[in-house]
Amino acid sequence: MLGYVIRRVCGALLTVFVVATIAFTLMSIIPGDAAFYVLGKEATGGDITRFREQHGLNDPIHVRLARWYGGLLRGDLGESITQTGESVVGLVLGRLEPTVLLATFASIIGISMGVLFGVLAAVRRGKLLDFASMILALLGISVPGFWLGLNLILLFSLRLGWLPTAGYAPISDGFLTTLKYLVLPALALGFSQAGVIARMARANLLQVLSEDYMTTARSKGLREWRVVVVHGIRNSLIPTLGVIGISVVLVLGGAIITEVVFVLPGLGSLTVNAIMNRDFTLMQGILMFVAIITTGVNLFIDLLYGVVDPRIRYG
Amino acid sequence: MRLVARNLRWLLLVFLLVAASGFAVSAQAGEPQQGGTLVVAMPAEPANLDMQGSTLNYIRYIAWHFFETLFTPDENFDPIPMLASGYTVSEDGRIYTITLREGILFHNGKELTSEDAVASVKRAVDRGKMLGSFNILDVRAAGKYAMEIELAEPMGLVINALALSRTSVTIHPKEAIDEAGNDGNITDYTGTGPFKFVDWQRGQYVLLERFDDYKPLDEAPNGYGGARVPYVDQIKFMFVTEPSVRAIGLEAGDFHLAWPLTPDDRDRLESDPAVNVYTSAPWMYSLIFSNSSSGLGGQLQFRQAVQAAVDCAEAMEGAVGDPGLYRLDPGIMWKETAWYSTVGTELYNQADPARAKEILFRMGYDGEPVRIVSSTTEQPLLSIALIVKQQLEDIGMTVDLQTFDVATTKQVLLDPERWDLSPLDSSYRDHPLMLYRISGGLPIGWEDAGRDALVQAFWLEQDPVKASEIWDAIHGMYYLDVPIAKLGDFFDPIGVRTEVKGYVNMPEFFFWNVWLDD
Amino acid sequence: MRLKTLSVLASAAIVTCVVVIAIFASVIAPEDPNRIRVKDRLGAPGDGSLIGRDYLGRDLWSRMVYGSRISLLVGASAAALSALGGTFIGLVGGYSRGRVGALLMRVVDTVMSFPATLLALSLMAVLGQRVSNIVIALSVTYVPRIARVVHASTLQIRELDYVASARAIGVGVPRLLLRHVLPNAVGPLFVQTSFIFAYAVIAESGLSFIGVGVPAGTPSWGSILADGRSYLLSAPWIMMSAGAAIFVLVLSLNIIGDALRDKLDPRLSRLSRNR
Repeated sequence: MLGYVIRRVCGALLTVFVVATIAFTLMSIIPGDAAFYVLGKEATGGDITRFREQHGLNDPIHVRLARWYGGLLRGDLGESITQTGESVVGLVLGRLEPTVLLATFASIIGISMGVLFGVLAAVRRGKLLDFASMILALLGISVPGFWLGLNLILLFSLRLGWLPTAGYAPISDGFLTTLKYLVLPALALGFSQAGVIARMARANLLQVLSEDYMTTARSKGLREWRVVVVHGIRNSLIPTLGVIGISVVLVLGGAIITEVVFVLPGLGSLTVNAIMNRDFTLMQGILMFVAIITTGVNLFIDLLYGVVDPRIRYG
Repeated sequence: MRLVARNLRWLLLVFLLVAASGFAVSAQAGEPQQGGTLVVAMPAEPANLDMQGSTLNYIRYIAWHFFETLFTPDENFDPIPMLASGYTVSEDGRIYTITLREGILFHNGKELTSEDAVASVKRAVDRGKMLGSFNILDVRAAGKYAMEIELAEPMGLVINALALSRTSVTIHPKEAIDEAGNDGNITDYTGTGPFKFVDWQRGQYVLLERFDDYKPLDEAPNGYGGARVPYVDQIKFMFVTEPSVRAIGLEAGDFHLAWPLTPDDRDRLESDPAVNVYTSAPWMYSLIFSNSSSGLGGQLQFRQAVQAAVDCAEAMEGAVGDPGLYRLDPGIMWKETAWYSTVGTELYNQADPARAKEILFRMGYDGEPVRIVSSTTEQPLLSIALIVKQQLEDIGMTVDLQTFDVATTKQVLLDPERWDLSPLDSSYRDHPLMLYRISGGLPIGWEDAGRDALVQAFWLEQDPVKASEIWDAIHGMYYLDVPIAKLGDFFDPIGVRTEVKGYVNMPEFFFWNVWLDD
Repeated sequence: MRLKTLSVLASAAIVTCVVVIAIFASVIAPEDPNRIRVKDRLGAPGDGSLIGRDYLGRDLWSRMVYGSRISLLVGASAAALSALGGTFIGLVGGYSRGRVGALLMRVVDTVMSFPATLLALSLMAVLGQRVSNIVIALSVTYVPRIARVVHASTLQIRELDYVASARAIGVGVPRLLLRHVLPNAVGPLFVQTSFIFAYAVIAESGLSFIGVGVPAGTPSWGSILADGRSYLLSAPWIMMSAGAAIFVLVLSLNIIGDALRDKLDPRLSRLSRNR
């Protein structure tokens, strides 16, 4: 077991190191920089030179790489170029709340709707309910998220006036207010997640339901619902958990466009702006942050699997 | 019967009371009152709020509520005193002595004195912009409430430079200037303005609150200057990048002001009784500028062909749409400024494909691709690029439109080998010497000794009549040499809710002298 | 069951329609999709144009017709490229025990830990806005998915008897992989590829929506959707037509993918035998 843990941890660290290098490389080959964005389009040559020196953009590449690695080891992700003076770590943490809340609500909607429809579809396989649920799930994954988002705004904000249009209210302003701003984006995002989960849950449950031990359980005279719930769902839990893990990553990715459409000040919109405005330090920092989180989550799940399923430990 | 009469009397009394109070309320509604939070929807978030460091307008519209300048432009764009009380010029025209108003307090309670003014002006000189291109020998204090600026040679534009919004010679406490250091940005937002900085939630909003110790000037409000009285308790500038969301929020009452609105939002909102839509001139104009240093753009005939082919009316209509939001005007300086000129403008908006083809033929154009560079997301620039491309193709040019994201586009434009034409929009200037094609900036290679000599003379000319003549001559050169082809002026619609009172329709908005009535 | 067959048939018909439209675009489109007609800007559907005009007066129907080429091209190319790359990586990674295999899959995992949108965005910023670059950027983000699927299949198949015996009689590795392993991994591979086709169509529209997709002016369903953003209320037909088209195509592709999965995925095909 210990060997397994060590191997997994080393693997994770290696991944993080590789990501750090890739992030830096990517930023160093993107054309353009943030000078005109920060200084305005009438910036003179002198302004631009001063700007580049101020941010160390004229230094040779090995110096910048060393600075980056050094900072990483100290846990310092540097200062943003386009948000003068703000530390990258501070910015990322400050923008976490909307993204985490959005992802959580979207996931709640997605997982509950997804599991519900998936189970219903599997249990009523071949019937209308199966077909209807799967069409809904397909709808979820086929609609472009931003299109759905814009239509939701059109309907609920403008036509009906039920929900606010732009922006965000932090939890410190009151949880209910925050909820109001997150309902539409969470719906838009959760709908597609529900689709993914529903299909997976259905497939997994169907497979489990067809296993031999299920036939045994039925022939023992157990009632159908007990068969399904107790044996079926419990055993399909592991693969479904895996899918949920993946879909959380998907939600984080989908949050990017959702945040842009709904103007939420989260990590996703921060990322888009950082790339578009060539804020290299911020971009690198965000990539690192996301990579560390996802690697960490994957590591955790791997270790969890190792605990739950002894076969994996020795594989 | 008696019962009815008695009740009727009471009813009448109540009615009269209500009516009277109604009058009282509506009488009050006409007068300024303190209170409320004004919410403004801005299209972008600035990198910082250092007005001296950048010419970006969305920094200015926030920061000029808490930073002020020595002089400000009045409604004719002439400088009038703001933090200064007046100035004198020495006999030889080289030394300007500026006196400061006394008793002006910074937000931290410190009184404004010459040491603050000197430090602030020195920094502005270092940072370039207009002051930096004057040959300034020294900036020094001349007493507690006076300072001197010494030039190498006599110049007429020093006070203008201290007033113009684009040059932003804002006055900060000396400690804030020292803290920013040589290369850093100002991050201490203490100023003298009618509002003070409270908080900046990155990605969401900037919050200001009324500065109760602000002393408005005695003069009536005049343009951007004169008395500035802060009424609202707070101003919240929210960053709403999505144009449709700005408009929807305005309609819903979430925002008091939304800028800019798209032309199509404006159409819709015109009929909304709760919203006023303002457009104000001068604002910006669109133009095509050529890379006059090399390649096709370096050939005068090519540029003349472009000038002849371009149909400005079609370009502006396609790019802007609503005729209330643009006008066809040939002036290189805006109509509303004192420097408006029409010399050479017979060559404007020729829309003459036959003539253009003839010029191309005489030039011996062989089908070499004309490279137009534009960004994908900036409007109306992209529309202009697409429309002009079609117009040029219709006269027989082969056009290669290359688009990139904004940052890459700026990079490409710095390399004269990679492009021939590019659309641009230019914000209004109060004075021709601020047109960066005259005083530096993007390299477009308009090299001309004659023009340089004229510009040199223009810098030094003190007599306004002679200066105007020199400018006319330079203006004519714009149309003969065609370093740029102006398309037309356009305006940004600003949506303001009707409960915002005291709002003055200026191209650049501000919220002093403004109150909320609700 | 019949409803399902019906939906698969309908989807196949829709996809075929789109392909035909794309191939014969120059015949079907009534106007030059890029021809600007300023006087007619934002024209409503019906007035001389089938589904309306955009903000520069270009005929939307013509743009949609030509746009189908881009959507199909990007979708198919990204799917094909990812399939190629992913299969190669998955086969090699799954078959070779030890360092090479582990390293390869480690790389795959690393790439997967970047959110796809982010990766695609950055790549587009670096590579520049061309349709070919969109295909490359999207393929990079989808290769890991295919690699994992093929990898999983390869791991399984590797242990089967006939593979072991082929190895024993000295069949070379490449031949082994191509002739014996791959054909059995083909089922899940096809299924994933069909889904990637669908993802790619949506992804292209997402990238164009943010402004890093196709070059400006080029008609693609995604760029039309992006154009329509500022005209939600004044000219909703711009957004509606592009959004609906993307949605219908992607839905059809997903339904077909589902049907493929039901037929080809060995695990699930067992189920149809049981009931």
